[in-house]
Amino acid sequence: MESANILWMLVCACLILLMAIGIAFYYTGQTRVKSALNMVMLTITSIVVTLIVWSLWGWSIAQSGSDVIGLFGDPAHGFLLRDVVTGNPAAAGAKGGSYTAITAKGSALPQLTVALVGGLVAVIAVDLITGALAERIKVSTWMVFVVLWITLVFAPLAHMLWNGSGLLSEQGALSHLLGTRIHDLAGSSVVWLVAGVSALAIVLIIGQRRNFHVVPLKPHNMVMTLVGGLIMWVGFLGFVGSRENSASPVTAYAMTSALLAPAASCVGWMIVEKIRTHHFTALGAVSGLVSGMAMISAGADSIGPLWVLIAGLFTGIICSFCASLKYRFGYDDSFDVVPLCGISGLLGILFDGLFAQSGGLLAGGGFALFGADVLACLIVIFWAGVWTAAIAFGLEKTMGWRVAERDEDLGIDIVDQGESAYDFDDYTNSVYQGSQR
Amino acid sequence: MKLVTAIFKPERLDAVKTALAQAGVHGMTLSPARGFGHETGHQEIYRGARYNDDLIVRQRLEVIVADADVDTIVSTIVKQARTDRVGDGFVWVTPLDRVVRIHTGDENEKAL
Repeated sequence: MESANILWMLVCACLILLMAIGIAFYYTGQTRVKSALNMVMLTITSIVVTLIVWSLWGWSIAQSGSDVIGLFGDPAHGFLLRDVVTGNPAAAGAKGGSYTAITAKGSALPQLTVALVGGLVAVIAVDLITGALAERIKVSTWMVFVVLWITLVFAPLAHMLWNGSGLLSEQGALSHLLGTRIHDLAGSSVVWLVAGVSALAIVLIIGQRRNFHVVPLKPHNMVMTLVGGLIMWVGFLGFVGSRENSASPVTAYAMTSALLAPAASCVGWMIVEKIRTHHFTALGAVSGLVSGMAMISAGADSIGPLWVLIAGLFTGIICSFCASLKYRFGYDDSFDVVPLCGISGLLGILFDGLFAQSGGLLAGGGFALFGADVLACLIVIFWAGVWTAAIAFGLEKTMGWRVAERDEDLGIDIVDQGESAYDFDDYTNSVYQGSQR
Repeated sequence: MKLVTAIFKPERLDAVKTALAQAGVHGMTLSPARGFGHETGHQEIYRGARYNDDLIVRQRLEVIVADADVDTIVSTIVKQARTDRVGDGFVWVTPLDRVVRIHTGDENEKAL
């Protein structure tokens, strides 16, 4: 069983990385031709920078470091994963190379697998934000942002929720105070809601794309977007399945609801679109899938199958209405990160408070869990909103987020990456200028 | 009968099109254009190899108008297509000998 759990955690790590690739496809299909490459670059940099920061101090702040007033762990204890990796094979009983994961006494699972999965979950949280910033930001500023965001926003929030001594965890101060157990299995709040809140904060600071609402800013490849959404769903099974830290019967149920909720949400979204626009749009269907994933992350193991379907249906319906808010309020959340991740993530926590088998309001558990969930959401929104706005504002005043107006018209790919995503011209005017030394 | 041809920045298309429709133009022909003028092109880099592309993308618009309307149409296009930056493009007017609307067989001013 011990090695089965290790195997399962490693499989989940692969699946979560696949989810990041799904997000890249999902967002890139929605860009215009001239900014597709920049979108993929935002995903690649999200992955690489997050993994480096996570191994240096992110893991320590989020999980392994000793707790500081329930908000974060000290960054030194697990610096460069030194608390979960050993270079002394004799001590760990390993054969072959020198380095191996440390398995603590009395524990079946090496903490390194938890660190691995945690780092990849951090990748997903950052990667989800990129969709709001499409077609206009410099990759260099984004990379600096990721370093600061993981350190100040994600890692502390992951600590609050998932570390046993964190403020918002099941045994934490808030749960204790309200006499309940705040539950967020895979991070409707810490991953999805935080991504939505952060995306909104950055978008309000960096402003609209040029010609937002003037020229059509249409997706250039809907098939890519749909396939990306489906790949995300495959990866999402690992995202949810890894949170029990074992290949257990609970994991089996969590993965089942991770399939049912997006399915119901997809149907809900499509019904609304059919009534409002007389079409079953493909973008609506895939958006329903994504919002369903955001919603079910919190209560994948605590909500019964019937309520999972009902919650999914309502998520699709509510989010499809929220998706047009950006035009009313005039903020350019390019690919709807705020409704799809933020609002559905929020719904996920609230539905957990309403429908959870143990403690849910509609399951006869009274107001304690629901109230605690609402309070936890407010804390998460406040923390993520304030820190992200501060980081984004600081970067706007120093490095600057945007490229020049003329460059944005020309296409950010050519300006920021120096390449173009697609070259379908059957003639070329390009003149070879020699190569760099 | 005059042919008004305009080359301008693609992002101004919507403004130009709307203004012309309001000025009473019933139809127009649009095509993408590439070329060069005072504005410089751009550079791309693949694995360290540099390429210069000096052709930039513009919108080409053609509309046939009655002689009396030419000044209005040209000034509308100029006003709407201007961004006050280099590379805003050109408008030119060409005289036409004969115009036939294929559907009805109407000729010249009647065809418009």
